[in-house]
Amino acid sequence: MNETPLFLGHFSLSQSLVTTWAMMAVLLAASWLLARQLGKPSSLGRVAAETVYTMMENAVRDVVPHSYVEVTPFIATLWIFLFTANLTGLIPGLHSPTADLSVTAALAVVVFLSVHWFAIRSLGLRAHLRHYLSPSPILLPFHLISEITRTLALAIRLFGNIMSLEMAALLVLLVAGFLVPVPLLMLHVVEALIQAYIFGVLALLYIGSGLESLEKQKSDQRNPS
Amino acid sequence: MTIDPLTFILEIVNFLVLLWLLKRFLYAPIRDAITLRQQTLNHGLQEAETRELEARDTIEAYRRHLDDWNAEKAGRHHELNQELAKERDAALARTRELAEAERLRLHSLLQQELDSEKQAARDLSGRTALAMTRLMLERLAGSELDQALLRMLIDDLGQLAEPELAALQTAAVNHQGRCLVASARPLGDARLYDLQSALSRLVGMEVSCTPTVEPQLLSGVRLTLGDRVLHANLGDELAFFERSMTGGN
Repeated sequence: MNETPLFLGHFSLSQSLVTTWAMMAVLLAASWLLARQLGKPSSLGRVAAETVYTMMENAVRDVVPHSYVEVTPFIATLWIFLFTANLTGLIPGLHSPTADLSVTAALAVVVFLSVHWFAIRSLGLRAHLRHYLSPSPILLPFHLISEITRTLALAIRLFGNIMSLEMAALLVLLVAGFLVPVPLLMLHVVEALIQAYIFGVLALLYIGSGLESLEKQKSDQRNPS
Repeated sequence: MTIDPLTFILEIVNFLVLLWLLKRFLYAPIRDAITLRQQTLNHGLQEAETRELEARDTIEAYRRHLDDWNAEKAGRHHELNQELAKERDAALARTRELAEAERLRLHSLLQQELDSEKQAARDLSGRTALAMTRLMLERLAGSELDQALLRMLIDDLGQLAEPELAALQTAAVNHQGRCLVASARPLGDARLYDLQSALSRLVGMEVSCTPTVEPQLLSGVRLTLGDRVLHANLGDELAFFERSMTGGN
């Protein structure tokens, strides 16, 4: 990535960081405007916001039916952040923050920590650590390797897809002029949506696997047969 | 392909801050709006269910009222039929009574009319008989009949009962023996003498009779002694007969 770092005192701020801040400001402003629309009973903004949030909540509830209230804000924020960040690359002169490995790695670490946060909060530390020894203590190394690899895979997958997408778009733009890349830009939108969705769903599945014993226990309590 | 530690750490912080901000300023209002909408829907649903229950209760109440009304209607209908039957029987009885009274009245009228006609027939037959008798007696009237009737009078005087005889004697005394003798034709001296003689013997004193002629007597005589009158003639008998037939005196 051909970036020119900004300096804040002795610290050099990457463009991804500045773009993320700008994006956060935009999202905050959009949230404020949308929140004002929620006061109107049948406004389009309110219907759209309720519909999108309900869809995301239903998707989370399908995986963690007994913890969706706590998990939904995290997954929804991942989807919104990633979708917005992925689309930022369409703005001329800007790059998607998710094309930066530092950003995707940070998000992967956040997902890694969130899995343990939700699991420990719901099950307790001992129960959460015990699941690494099940069904057999022999599998403990594999569990640990799995934790590391899936976090790495999250970071690398998103970084690789978005970076390659931007590079492909740049090459097509250089070779074929301005009109031909329009379908490619449409592909960029779709790809941004899909990558955000995949990242969020994977994070949800990881959290769901961490809460599996709790979900099973509550399901058994609700349906004894 | 290198990881900038500052970017890495700040992106984590950024995401957590964004999570907090969205949770505070976006998700919470949306959840509140959804909850409010669900509450509104639940409230509307509960209200609809309440109204449905109320409607069912109302329908049930109206159905019970309808059953009560039908039962009351059937009872009233039964009572009405009974009252109508009573009224019909009473009217029928009254009609029968009126018909019986009318029948009796008509029967009475018919009987009266029949009696009247019978009476009229009797009167007619009586008058006819009287007229025929009068005609026949007018044809039979004559001197012989006068003589016979006089003889019958003299015989009857001899057979008078004691009270009548006493009354006749009193009348003769009161009028000094003067009497009137009416006949249809002139009586003649001999017959007058026979009569005076019979009367004198009967009352025990001399009687003098003054003769008069009254053709309406047809035949026979009428002897008047004071307030006593003795009829022995056809005219007076026919008059008696006619009065008795018509109900007069």
